[in-house]
Amino acid sequence: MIKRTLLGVAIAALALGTFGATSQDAKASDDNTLIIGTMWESQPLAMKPRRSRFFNESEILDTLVKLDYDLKPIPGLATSWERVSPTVWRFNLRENVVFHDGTKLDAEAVKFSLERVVALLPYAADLLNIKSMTAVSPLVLEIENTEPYAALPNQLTDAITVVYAKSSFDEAGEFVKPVGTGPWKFEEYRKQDRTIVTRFDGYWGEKPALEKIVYRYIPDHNSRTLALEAGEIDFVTNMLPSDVKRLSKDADFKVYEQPTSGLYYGAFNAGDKSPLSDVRIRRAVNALVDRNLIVEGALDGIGEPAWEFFAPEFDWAPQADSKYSLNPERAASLLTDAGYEKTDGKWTKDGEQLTLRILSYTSRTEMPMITEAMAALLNQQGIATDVQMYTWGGMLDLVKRGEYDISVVFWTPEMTGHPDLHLKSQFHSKAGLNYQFWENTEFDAAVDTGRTLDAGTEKDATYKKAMNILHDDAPIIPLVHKVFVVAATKDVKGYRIHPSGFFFDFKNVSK
Amino acid sequence: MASRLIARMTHALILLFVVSVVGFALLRLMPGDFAEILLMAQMDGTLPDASQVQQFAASNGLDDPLPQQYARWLFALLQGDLGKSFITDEPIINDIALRLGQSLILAVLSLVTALAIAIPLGVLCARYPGSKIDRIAGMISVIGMSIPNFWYALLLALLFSLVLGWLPTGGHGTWAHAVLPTLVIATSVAGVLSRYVRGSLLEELSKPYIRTAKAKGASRLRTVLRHAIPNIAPGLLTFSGMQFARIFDGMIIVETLFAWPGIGRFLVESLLNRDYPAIQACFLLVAASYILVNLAVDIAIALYDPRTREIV
Repeated sequence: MIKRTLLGVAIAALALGTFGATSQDAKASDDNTLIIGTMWESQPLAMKPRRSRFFNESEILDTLVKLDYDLKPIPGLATSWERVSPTVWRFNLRENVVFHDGTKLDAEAVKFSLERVVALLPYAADLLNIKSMTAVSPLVLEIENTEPYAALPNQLTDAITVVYAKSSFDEAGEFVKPVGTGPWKFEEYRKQDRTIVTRFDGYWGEKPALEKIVYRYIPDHNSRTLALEAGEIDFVTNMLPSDVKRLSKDADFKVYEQPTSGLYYGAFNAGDKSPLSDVRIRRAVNALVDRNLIVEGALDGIGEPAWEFFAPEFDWAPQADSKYSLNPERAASLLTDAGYEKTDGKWTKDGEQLTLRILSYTSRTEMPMITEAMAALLNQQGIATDVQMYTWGGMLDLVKRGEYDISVVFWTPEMTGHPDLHLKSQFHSKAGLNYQFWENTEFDAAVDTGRTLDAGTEKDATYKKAMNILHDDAPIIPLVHKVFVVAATKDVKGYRIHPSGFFFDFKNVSK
Repeated sequence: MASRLIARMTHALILLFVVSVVGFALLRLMPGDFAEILLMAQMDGTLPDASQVQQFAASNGLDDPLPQQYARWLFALLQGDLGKSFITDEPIINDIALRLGQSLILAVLSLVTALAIAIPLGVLCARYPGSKIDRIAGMISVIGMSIPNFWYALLLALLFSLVLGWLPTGGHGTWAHAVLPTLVIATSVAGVLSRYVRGSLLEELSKPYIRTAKAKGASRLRTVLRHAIPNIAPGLLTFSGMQFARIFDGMIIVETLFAWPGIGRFLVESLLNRDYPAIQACFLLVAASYILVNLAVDIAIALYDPRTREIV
């Protein structure tokens, strides 16, 4: 009996020890607090996991240059910038900006921050191309690049370049916590649960209406939307297509949908190991897949059919002279040219059906649905497919060895408002990310020149040339342009989707 | 008894060692250049170039021979250092500390609840075998065993959180948060347990000593509670210990659905992230818990039933 009682006491003590400490607000009823349900955990005490995306998206920290709602560069912590020589940019900084810890923002502080970022995050070095930085005066910073670099102001809109106060780092230079200049200051992080930010009254811009924002981590897609419906949160991201439809009809909620940066596409293996080394077959595949059906069938209509690389919504983005279109007759003549003939509805050569190995990964919600839909449409047209799903890493391993024909991927090529980001890093024959074995010297020359050119006819013509090559030589099949969806309760006012897809802008939101 | 106990513990230790070696080797030999995968995860999905990968591999010791990597890891482990997560850059012990407690709470609550459902149900069925009650209970048990947790959990959340508004949809920190996850796991285990209680009780009730007890005039209730149940208890204890695997299985899904920060979800997250130090820590922890729970069950039975002491 005594044993049993002791056991009971032990279990109770264990239970209370774990639970007793906290009791939380279950309902999102406070007018000055906005509660967001997110798919990713924000992880504010580390820089690396999300490459500073959370700091920029939640506006704890600011970048020197920001993007407006048309993805055009606008002043951030820098009020203006000019090129003083082909390789040197001069940034004039905003006056009277203070960090959350009370220190003043000046050229030395920005220099220190960018140096830390480049040292801690290798990707930043590639992105920014910095040779040296000079604080010319307290509010003037000059950045010298290793080559003429017209794209720099756009690259400085990337979340990775946010400006940290010195107190964000410890004495050894390692990141400790985010201390920035944004309208929201970091308040509290509860592991696996939530991150809380509060209004910063010393903010240099317009003051937010809300006092507090809570980012709650709810990993399951169903549960996240359920939490909104149950009144526990005010705002939800990354919903399932079926929930989007349902909430759209519910007067208590408002669903926000808008195209943002992001393209799902099939990357072709143009190397020797694939039938897609023949440009005619690459073009034929592009003419056989009806993107409208993918969007309707796989995504319940949430997405834009992609017949081109950059989404047409972005008027700054270069476009080729023509787009792809559904054209089975043209595809048939291309395949016949390439030596295939159609027997019993199947495209065959030497008695063997044209078969494509299609790879993708399951960790991104829409990916399996888009991949399967594309494969089904190709089957219907007489091309056999072998679809294999991996993790991103597992897929990449096969891709690098050339053991694939199409890998279906997602990238955000429009994110910085400059075409360089994706064209140079993915399709240039020298690019570390080009695993498609696709090489085109004219294309290489165009994107090498493009990033050095200021806005104007020469830049436009250069990128148009690049886009025409990309279209004609067809190293990819564009499938779907991303449409960003969030939902909120009807009380949430003033929210707008930012087209970069990585910026919440809650400054004007009230409830 | 002491020497047998020591032998038993030695076996457990050897088992732990084997599990850790197998887990370690399995992960390191998976296809894919994991130095690159890890670096890429830190860089938000962008591919690093070859020289960066080499530098990263070198600075994290991913170039060394596998036995050397294993030895280094084990040595640190024995000093209580589980390493740093490649993804969050945080010591893994922080995660383990939070999640082990949370998982333990869920596991103990689920097992207690499951037994509280299963024993009365099983007794009732064994008492009236073949009756309507027995058949209905049998049907419910089968449904409880076969209903998919992820669907059933959502139904419960819909009812209790959305329609009735009694319980939160997810999260942790208060008792209210624990109710739904416990209920889901407990019901999925209770089915199997109640069938076990029914079966072993039926067998027990057919034995001669029960007839003797009846002949001595003991009431039916007394024969079941005082004679039959104590005799099936060791078996039930062993069987309940084995159900920990099933409970852990349930936790993987339930913890994600209800945003409960337990070991199950940590393992899944680590796998998706290919966060090698975290995966290894999870592997070791899960294997250790399983081995230790079974050891504890054996010891408990030995203490409870003097007849089995010699075989422990």
